[in-house]
Parts: sequence; structure tokens; C-alpha cells
Amino acid sequence: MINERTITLARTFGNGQSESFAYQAAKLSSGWDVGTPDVENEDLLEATAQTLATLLPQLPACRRQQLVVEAGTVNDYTATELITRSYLLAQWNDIILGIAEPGSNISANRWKGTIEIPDVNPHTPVCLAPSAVLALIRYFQEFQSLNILKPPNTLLICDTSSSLYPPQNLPIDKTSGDDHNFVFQLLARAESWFRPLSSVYGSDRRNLDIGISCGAEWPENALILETLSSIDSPHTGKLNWTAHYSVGTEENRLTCGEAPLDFRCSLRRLMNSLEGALSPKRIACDMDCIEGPQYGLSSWLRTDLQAGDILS
Amino acid sequence: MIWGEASCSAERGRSKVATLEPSNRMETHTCTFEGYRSSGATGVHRASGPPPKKLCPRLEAPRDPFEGQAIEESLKTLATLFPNRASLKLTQLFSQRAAAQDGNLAWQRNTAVWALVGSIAIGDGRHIPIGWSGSASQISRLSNPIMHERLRCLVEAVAKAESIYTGEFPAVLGPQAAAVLLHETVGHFAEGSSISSINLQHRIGVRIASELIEVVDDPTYEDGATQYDLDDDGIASFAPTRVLRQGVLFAQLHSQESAAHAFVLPTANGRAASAMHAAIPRISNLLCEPGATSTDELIDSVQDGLYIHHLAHGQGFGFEMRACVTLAEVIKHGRLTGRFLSGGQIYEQVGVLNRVEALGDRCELNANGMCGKAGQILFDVGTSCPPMRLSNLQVTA
Repeated sequence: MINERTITLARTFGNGQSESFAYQAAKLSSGWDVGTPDVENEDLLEATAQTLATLLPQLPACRRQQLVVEAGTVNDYTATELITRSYLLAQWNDIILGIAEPGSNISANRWKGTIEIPDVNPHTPVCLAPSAVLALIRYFQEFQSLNILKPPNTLLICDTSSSLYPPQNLPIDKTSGDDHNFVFQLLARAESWFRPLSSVYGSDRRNLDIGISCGAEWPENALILETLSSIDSPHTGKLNWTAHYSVGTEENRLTCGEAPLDFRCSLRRLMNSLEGALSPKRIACDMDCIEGPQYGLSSWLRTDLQAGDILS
Repeated sequence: MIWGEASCSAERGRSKVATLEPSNRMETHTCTFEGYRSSGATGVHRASGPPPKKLCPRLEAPRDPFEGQAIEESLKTLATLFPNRASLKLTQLFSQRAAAQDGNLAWQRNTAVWALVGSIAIGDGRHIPIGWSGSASQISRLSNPIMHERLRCLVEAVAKAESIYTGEFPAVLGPQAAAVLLHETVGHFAEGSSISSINLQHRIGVRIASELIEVVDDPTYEDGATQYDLDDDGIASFAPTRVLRQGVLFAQLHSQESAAHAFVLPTANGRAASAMHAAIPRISNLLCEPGATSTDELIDSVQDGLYIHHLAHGQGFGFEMRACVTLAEVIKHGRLTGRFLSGGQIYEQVGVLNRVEALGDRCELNANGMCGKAGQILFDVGTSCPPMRLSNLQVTA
């Protein structure tokens, strides 16, 4: 049973911004107390700045400012032990480049240049990268509460308290007598508590682990939706989506230029298009503007869509 | 203040959150927070903890304006109204915010807000969303018997409501429903962009409501959801900003930065969810002038249509807005029938209030002051509005 959790993290952005946070959540007799201890994070900031400097030249020139490198340490105190996890995470345009132990190398050399939508062959198969799958499923779950749409039978969605992103990983002891969901939101979503105005929105979702029961083969060339978001409220008609995209394969891609892809497609069509897994599960992130970054796991998925289906 | 070299905004505060489950289990948690946002030659830096002294003096711990009002008591009162049916979360937040330039304090002020969110079960797996919020001075609303009675009536009516039918209907919007539409259409249309380089001044002069509608934004309004002398840019608020004149957009609401890009003066509408966020143009209290028609006369003049009592989850995006219909009532032969409807959405364009034909003679402040924009949620965004009669309103599934 965790009695105290401290998280220290630092982020450096490609646009010159930086962040450095520390949270401490401690269990008191009256409930939990979250605080922001005065902790020097200079070492973490230095580590993120170094990794940022290494990664920037590996990326296509467009949107380099969107590169973010994060380093942090999570300490969980129980009555008998201290469990420490440190990490280094890099993401670019909400695409996870990698998560590793501090001091490890993260590579960003899988993008070889840029491409614009008019140059994409309309017969190119569409694939979803892990972050796009996670965003799609999280959006679908909002819709699911209306009981109008069911997920495809082959899709396996697991809500779990574990995560590859240490600040959102929380092995909860269900015998502790606490409200597990509340404690999870309190300890594994600490950033929203530091911004208390967003802590008001209670979510009962934890971390999603998404799989599909059948496999698929990589096409020679794919239109890859790297990220996915919709500003529409869920409904049964065609929704407006925005996606960062690449063209190629997982390890050899051309990325989109400055502008993301806007397209219209119903949620039912997108969900039913999911055919099979192209890879083992990878870390994914959905940048939720209210709940903050939500990490999860997903395979790359192939769809039965072609580029022309969503570009027309 | 003008942001320049080594400018810093800082905040120190505390929040309390009490949760109530249908089992009547209650938990209270606290959060003590301190953080700052600095900008200078090396870029923007956000951090938790006290700001470095060279940027901003350390803030004192703010006094608790909610002192003496046990957060649990407020929730318990509501729990007794709806035994084993309420799932609620009450948040109280108070803080001190300040801004400094090169280590010299430019301004400081206290913030105190609260929000009650959650739902009440009404059977058949259905729930009514609850959302009340505002500044600390309004927290007595939580123990106000009139508010309790209204909530009880709303829950009872929704429990026996039929599914709403879709289509276009002549309608009367009650004050709460009218406030949601006014906020989503006029309020957000009048705000400058959260991306300050996007200049929306071309919207000035556009008609977005009927000529009956006069609207101001007033941060100094005493009975509003918020009241402040300085916005989060440190701009003093002296008087209301006229937003709509006879239904035409007269002025935009600006933060200091958006005003600079639009070559106009700021309107003291730069607001931030915390000192670590950039202030962006936000509504303070949106006030619509009342008309001269009683609510009974508005209903009578519709003859056959809908009275929209309550809307929830208002959303504006681009030139469209949506809101969920929590409770509507059928109007037949100019009378309310007691036949309640629920479900469905209002799905309209930003100009929906062009169809307003008459305004009621009394205004009410919407009890829910929560508003999200660009990932920042404020608890204290007020809308005061009279009932409105619309020639038609589109209700979708």
C-alpha cells in the first residue's frame, strides 16, 4: 500500500520553453494531501536539454519546435520499501519517439523527409499509429456511454492501472480500503492536481491497453495517421477529424509538412475499418486538452480504408 | 503590466475536494500548491514551488475565505435531498496570484472559487448532470433552500420526462437555457482568439442576435459569478464593455496580448486558470438586458411549442454550438402542459439568437459558471439572462 508518492519531472521544448515540476502526495489520517515541494530540478532540465539537442537535427525541419523531451523520477513509499522509477521520454507532434532509462539513447531518425497530401496516391492503405489508436478508442469510449455503438469483436480494450509512463503507473492495493479510482486519479494524474481547476472533472478511466485479436501485414507504403483528434461531440454522423500523418512504413517515413490532415469520417466507419495488428504494443499518448496527456499501449493497426476514402 | 525581460507570474494557494458517493461514503482531500511562470530572453519557464527571489517575492499563504464552512456539511445537505442517488464532488480553491517585473512586485490579488459537479441518478440508468460554481461569496447557494427546491423539482420532472422529439419548434428558453445559448454564441464569439496572433476584429459589426438584444461584459458586477478589479494581465477593470448593441457585435473582449495584435485597448478580460498559464481573452460576467414581457406572456404568445427549462454541456466550436436538453416542457394553446421531455440536443449556428422575438422582464444568473477554453477551465464565468422567445429552435437526436 502506497503511503506517499513524489514525482519530479522536467520538460524542455523545441521552442525554447521549459517546465520543472515536483508533486508530493501523502496519505494523512483525514485523507490525501497533495503538495508542491520546493525541489531543484536542474539536473533533470540539463538532461532534457541535452537529449533535445541530440534529437533536433534528426527530425525533418518542419515543426521541430514541437519536440518535447521529458525526464523524471517517481518515488513510491510503502510501509516497508521505496520503489523508484526514472525515465526519459521524447515526443514530437504528440508522437512518442521513445521512452527509456535516463542516459539511454532515443532515436528520431525514422523520418526521411516531408510529403504533402496532394502527392499521396489515393489507393494507399491507411494505417493507425499507436497514439492515433489510443485517441480513437478514448473518443469512442465517450460515445459508448450512449450505448449506440459497439466496438468490433476483435478489439481488446483493457483499463489498467499500470503504464509504461511512470507518473501514470500505479500498482494499487485493492485491499487498502481507499476509493481506488479516486486514489488513482489523485496519484497517477498528479499534474491535474497541480492545476486544481481541472481536478474537478472526475474521470473513471485509467490507462488503456489496446490490442486486436488478428494480425495484418504491413503494406509496401501506407498513409499513417500518427495522431487523431476530433473537436466534435460524439454523434452518429460524419465527424471532423484532424491528424498528423506520415507516408511509408514504421521505420521509414515521410512526414506531413506544416499543416495536419483534416478529414470527415463517421466513428462507426473508423471503428469498423480496424483490420489487424501490424506490430507488438507500443507506448501511446492522447493529448487530451482537459484531462492532460493520457498514456496507454497499443499496436499499430491496419485499416481497410484507402487514402482516397478520407481525402475525398 | 508590459511583459518584458524577466517577468513572472506566481500563485500560492490551497484547494479542498470532498467527494460523495451514492453509498454516502465521503472523502476529503487537500492540495497545497505553489508555482510560477517566467518569461525572459531565454524563453518561457513554468515550475512548481516558489519563484526565484530575483524574479518575484515569495507570496504569503492566502487566508481561507471558506473558513467556517465545512466542505463536508454542504455535501451532506445535498445528500439528504437525494439519498443514495447523488455522486458529487465539491471543490473549493483559494489562492494568491501576483506578477512581478525584474523581481519587483507589480500587482497581487486573491482568488477564491468553488465548483460542485457530479450527477444524480433518476432510475433506468439515467443521471442528471449537476454543475454549480462561482466565486467564494456565492457558496451560500449550496445551502439555499430555494436552490434545493429547484433542484428537487428538476430531478422529479426529468424522472417522469418522455424522450424529446426532434425537429424545429417555436420555443421559450428559460433563463438558464437562454444563458447557455448566450454564453456559447455571443460570449465566445465576442472573445478574442486564444492564439493572440489571430486577429478576429473583422467580426465587429456582424449581426449575431436580434436587435432586441443588448449585452455587456462586466467584471465589476457585484452579483456576478466573478468580480475582479484586475485581470490576470494586471489590467484594471473600471466599467462594463458593451459587447452587443441591438444584436450587432460592438466590441471584442481582449487580453493585453490579443488587444495589442488587434491594435485596440485591452478590456480587462485576460484570464488564466492558474498563474502558470498565459492569460487569454475570456468572458467575465455576460449580462443581457431584460425586456418588458412577462414569462407567462412569452409562453402565451408561442401557442404551441417547447419551453426549455434546462440545458447542460453547452459547447461552442467555430460557428456552431451544441447543448444537451436536460428538461423541456410542451406548450399547448399558450399554456405549459406539465408534459416533460428530456434528451436530445440543441444544435445551432452562432446566429441562433437572431430568432429572438421577445425578452422576458427578469434576469437570472446561471448557477453554473464553469467554462473551458484552450484547455483552461474557469469556475467563475457568469451569465445573467432573461427568458427568451424564439421563432424556432432546432432540436436534434
